[in-house]
Amino acid sequence: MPITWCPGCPNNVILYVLKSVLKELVDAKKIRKQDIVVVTDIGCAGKIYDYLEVNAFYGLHGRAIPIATGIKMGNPGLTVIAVAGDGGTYGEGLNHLVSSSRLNPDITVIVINNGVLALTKGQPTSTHPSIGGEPIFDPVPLALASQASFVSRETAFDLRDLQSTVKAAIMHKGFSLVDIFEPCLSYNNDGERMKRDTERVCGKDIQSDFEESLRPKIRTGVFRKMSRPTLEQKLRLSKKKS
Amino acid sequence: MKRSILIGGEAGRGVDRTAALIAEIFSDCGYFCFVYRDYGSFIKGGHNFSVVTISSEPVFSHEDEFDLIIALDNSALEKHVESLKPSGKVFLNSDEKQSAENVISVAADGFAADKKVGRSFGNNIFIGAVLGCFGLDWRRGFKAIGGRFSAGDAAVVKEALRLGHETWRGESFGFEPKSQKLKISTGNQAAAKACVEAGLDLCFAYPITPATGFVDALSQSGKVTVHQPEDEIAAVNQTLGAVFSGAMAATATSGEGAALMAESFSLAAMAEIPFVLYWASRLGPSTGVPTYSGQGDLKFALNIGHGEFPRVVVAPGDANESYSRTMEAFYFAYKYRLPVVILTDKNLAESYYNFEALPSLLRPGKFLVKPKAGYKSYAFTENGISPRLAPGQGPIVRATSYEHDECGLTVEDPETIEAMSEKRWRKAKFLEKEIAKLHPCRLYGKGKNLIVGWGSTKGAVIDALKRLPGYSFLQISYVAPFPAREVEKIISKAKRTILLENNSTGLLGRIIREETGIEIKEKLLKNNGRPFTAEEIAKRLQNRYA
Repeated sequence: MPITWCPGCPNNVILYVLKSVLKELVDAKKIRKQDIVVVTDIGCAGKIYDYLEVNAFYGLHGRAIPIATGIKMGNPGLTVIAVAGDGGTYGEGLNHLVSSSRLNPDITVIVINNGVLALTKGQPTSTHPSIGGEPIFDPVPLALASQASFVSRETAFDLRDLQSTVKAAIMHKGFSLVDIFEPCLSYNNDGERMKRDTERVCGKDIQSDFEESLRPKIRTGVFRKMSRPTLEQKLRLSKKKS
Repeated sequence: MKRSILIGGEAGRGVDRTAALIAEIFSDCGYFCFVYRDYGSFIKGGHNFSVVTISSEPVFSHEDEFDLIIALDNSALEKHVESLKPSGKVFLNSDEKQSAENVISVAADGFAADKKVGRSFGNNIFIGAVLGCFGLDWRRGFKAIGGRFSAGDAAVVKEALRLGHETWRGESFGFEPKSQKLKISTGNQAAAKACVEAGLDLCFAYPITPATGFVDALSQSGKVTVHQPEDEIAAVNQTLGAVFSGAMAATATSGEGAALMAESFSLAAMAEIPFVLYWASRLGPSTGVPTYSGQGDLKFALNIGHGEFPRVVVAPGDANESYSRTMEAFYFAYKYRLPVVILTDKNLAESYYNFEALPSLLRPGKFLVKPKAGYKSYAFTENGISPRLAPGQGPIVRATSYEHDECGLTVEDPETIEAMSEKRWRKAKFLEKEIAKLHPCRLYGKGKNLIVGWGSTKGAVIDALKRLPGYSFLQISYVAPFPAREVEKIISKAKRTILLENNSTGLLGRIIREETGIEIKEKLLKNNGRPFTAEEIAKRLQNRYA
């Protein structure tokens, strides 16, 4: 399918990273290609559904997480990755982020966080450096407080970090969040500020130090990676034969 | 022979359990039973009651007057004594001798205190007293229900039944045990049994009265994994995800929860994901009266979800139909890849009926195909049904909320949009043909005056027909697709047609008019949360057409 994001859209970077990570994991026999299922939200993030040659579910606004959770519960043998925007994950469907973080289904949630509802022409989301000067919503401390077992943030600028974090998130047994900061070239072209304000604090579990997350810097890295039983394990759901 | 018992007391005192045990004993002894449950939104306190009707003939509704009142407290006696038949008796929870001749003390609380067991345990003394009054040996009663208790508890129950039986000294109603044995089930339990037999793997549901009993029954079956997510929206989306990945899954809710599921109902239709929604209505609008019943969601069930798409809405009328129609629901959802609503209400979902799981003509299953090169998730076929494959087996499998081509890839061109919409609707023709063989509507009785209804009102109408010579009853079970030709044929032959519904505007009547052009002007409607009784239907019709 021809790509219909705006020319130069950093979503292309995320698409490239996702494709290359999946290829690497398949080549290394860590996962099977036929077991990959990508679930998308709608809007610009949802378009990724058409650009990947894997099993996929084009969901509803804000509902990628529950659909992905259901898929994993229906067949725990699948590798389930949700790709959604900030509008869906941190607005319309925020409830699901909190619950799935707690319950720990083994799914990966990749959030393309550009601060706008782009496809409806640029209305601000909760992560937009807003017009009225309202504080920005930070999903990282929320995911940590909700006991997500893998919490991370990257930007679409740092290819290598993004790749390694996406890979770690997919391989993590349990719920993993990868929040990816990127500008929207059409409606929130804030790339320079993002680059300037990014601070890498990788490897630092800020569970005990929420103050950190309230700083104006965009902190990137893996903030938590811990092991605990997944929802499927607790419910003793088994893999479907194939 | 027909007798009626009211059991009343505070919430948490075992009113419902006691009624169910009585019904279970008499059913086991070959008598037909129906239990109506009336309760408010309390956990403890307030006043709840159940009415057990016991008869030598099939019975599907409760009575307004009682031969026996079991009053777990004085307030139950005060509230219901006016409905006691002149010859009726009262069993009152008390240690003291009663001055009124027809009030008999049963020391249930005293027994529970002596035995150091919960107060509800004392209720078994009342059951013993009922057995005495009806003329059944207490040992026969114990045989029917003893297995429900642990060995230690069973000994206490045994003693309670014996003691209770001794409190009855009068002449008995003369209910001899029969050789036949009957079973009881609520509509919820019957539907859950069908789900288990259909092969349900997972149920995602957020608690809501009166659908919770269905979910509990699934959980108790030990064969279905039940998951309670954060809300109804998660429940429906998890259901669709699980079905996509190859499981058999369902969700259950009431009208309010269905409102939250509307967007995903439409998703199921567009993505062609088999979807079964067990929908047990309560009295709306809004929070309404959550523990009481109504048939106000009919049009909502027929229209839930944006856009146009084929769907099935099936409304069972009793516990046997809850079972059989649920089987059919799974069959149609999975075979045709579309959303199916099983529309029931509190009266049917929570009342106890005699129940028999009649073998289904249809075999529900997942209708999944084996992987094959060149597989397309939305392949065009003659009947519109694209073969369904679960992911994980090689070919790429897609599901999408967006309009799509055969591979499931996004499209916006007019030709594919038209072709895909046509493909989805093509299924409807084949679906209608199959449904036509399943009695989508059914005529009871031969009278020239026709009562038309649907869902839980069936029981009271069937019972009322015995008092209404000259009347017949048309029950419409499949509301979508609607059996228009058959309904039109039956109504046009009737001398007089009366629409009977538990709602305020006669929703089925409006659907009949839309589908057949026939307007039913005579209406018998009730919308106060309480079901019709047979006597009420008979009286209201006789008064109107005397």
